[in-house]
Amino acid sequence: MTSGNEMGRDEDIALRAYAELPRALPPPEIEARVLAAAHAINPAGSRRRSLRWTSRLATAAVAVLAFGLSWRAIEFQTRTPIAAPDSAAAPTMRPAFEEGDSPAKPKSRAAMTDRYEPSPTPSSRDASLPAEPGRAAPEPMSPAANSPATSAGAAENANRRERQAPPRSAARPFPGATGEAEADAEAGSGVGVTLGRGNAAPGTDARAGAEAAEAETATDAAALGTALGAADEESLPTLKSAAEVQSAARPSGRFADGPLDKEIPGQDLPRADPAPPLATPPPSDSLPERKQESRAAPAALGETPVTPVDQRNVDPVSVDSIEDASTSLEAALIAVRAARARGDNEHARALLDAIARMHGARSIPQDLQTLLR
Amino acid sequence: MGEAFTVITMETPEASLPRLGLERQNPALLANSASTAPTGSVEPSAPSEITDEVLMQQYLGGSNAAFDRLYARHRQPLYRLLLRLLPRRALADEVFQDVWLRVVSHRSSWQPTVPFRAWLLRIARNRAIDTLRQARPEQSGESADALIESTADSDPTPEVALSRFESARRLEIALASLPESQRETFLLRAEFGLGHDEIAELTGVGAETAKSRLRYAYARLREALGA
Repeated sequence: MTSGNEMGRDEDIALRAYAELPRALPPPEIEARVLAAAHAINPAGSRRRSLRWTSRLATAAVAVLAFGLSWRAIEFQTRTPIAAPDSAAAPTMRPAFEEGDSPAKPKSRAAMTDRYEPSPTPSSRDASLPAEPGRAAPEPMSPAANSPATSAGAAENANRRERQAPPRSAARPFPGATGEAEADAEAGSGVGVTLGRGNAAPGTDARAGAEAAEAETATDAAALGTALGAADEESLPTLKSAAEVQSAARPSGRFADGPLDKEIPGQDLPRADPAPPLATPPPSDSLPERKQESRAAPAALGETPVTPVDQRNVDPVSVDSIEDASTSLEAALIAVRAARARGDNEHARALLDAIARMHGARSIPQDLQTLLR
Repeated sequence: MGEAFTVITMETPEASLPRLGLERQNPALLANSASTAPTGSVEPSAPSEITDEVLMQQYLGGSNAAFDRLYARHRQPLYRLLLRLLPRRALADEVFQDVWLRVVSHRSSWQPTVPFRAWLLRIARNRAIDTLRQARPEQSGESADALIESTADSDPTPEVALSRFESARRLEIALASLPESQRETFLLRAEFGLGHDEIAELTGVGAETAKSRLRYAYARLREALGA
């Protein structure tokens, strides 16, 4: 304790005496040298300048980005009403189509009148189709195709198929068909998906259309009947299908819209069954008759007689398919009519029995009730 | 006793901070403040004062002003330490400049976990030891007089000046006569206010050794002063 007190006293005296010593300062030149060396590491203003440059660059980048985004937004807003397959877009596109503003459209209007004719019977189809000028290929339609949205989808599909066939598009063997397909795709509304079928030269693409029609099933035929039944004369142009686009774009070696006798060298593909002469149209497949068939088609589900569309189909409907619900009621009724038209009343009765068991007797139309056992 | 001890420990680092700008603008002000403000009675630092470590980090971040403040805090005690550790003023100037240049050039080797003052003193001590090995001190009465004269301030009256000169001369001679380890320990305590543990850590000895060195140094200085 004593030594601690002594140490404290000695410390106090020594430090007080030391504090009395005059203060010494380093020479100014040394201080200047030290500070200059320290400041040389961080040049004055360089940091601020770099920050200013960075902020300006960031501001410019943000401005460019904002401008680009706004531009895209405006562009998207202007394109949306055309691209959107809503029902509101259809009326806006329709008048321009009907008035035929585009030079490529007038022929399409003529094609609209023939477009919805049902397919001929298998016996008369091959002979009659090529000879009909401006004849449209039979087009299978699904019931949903009556909606503009589905029409837009068909237009897109047609456009996609056009893109997926680069050799054909490059060579453009069918300028009418391809051109109109592109025009319709550009329209994008699904209204009036017109193609070169109506404008086709006689005997050029009609055969392709017939081949496309052969590929369709009885169900498609029934759907066609439903679609046609729901469509009136004004809405007919909207009922064009992608199958028509495909059939119109199918290579036939001739121009659809071009001169009738003009052929592309090397494009005339060999066919197993050459097209019949153009000048020999069978009288049964004339235009007025097919129009009548077209008007009769919507009544396929009702009391109207069986149409050739139903007759031409190879009937895939059986009692089993009805009972296991793999066949719809409409297709089954069409099959019944087809069987009756063929004179196969036994099969028709069997089908009707199955329909009655599965769907009830009330689902059978009045004209078929007589066949019920 | 205790009050004096407390005052001394608070003194040095912040003493020169507010004076750096004023010194450059008005050297007379510096002379007056130096003569009237002894080392042991420096005004205490503000509680919100930025620490050395923060200033060093700011300097590493590009702030030259932070280095200016850091330099202002430590330049005077460091220079006085070197001035009394080394035999000649020229050596102290050389070492002082070299220490600060090393601080600048080796700034990236400083770690924020290490106190800046300890890092600075370690550099200064190592550099001073190297210099001492090259030139052994020949501190005598004449060199002490020269040191006192070189650091003397203008006194108002000749009597006061003579009295201060005599007491300073005795102290300078007593300091010079101390063993190097005791002198170093005393100077670290007097200039930087380091505690026993800090001195022991810096000098690489135990805390008791540092304490005993301080005790011997105080006793010899008191004897030399005739108190």
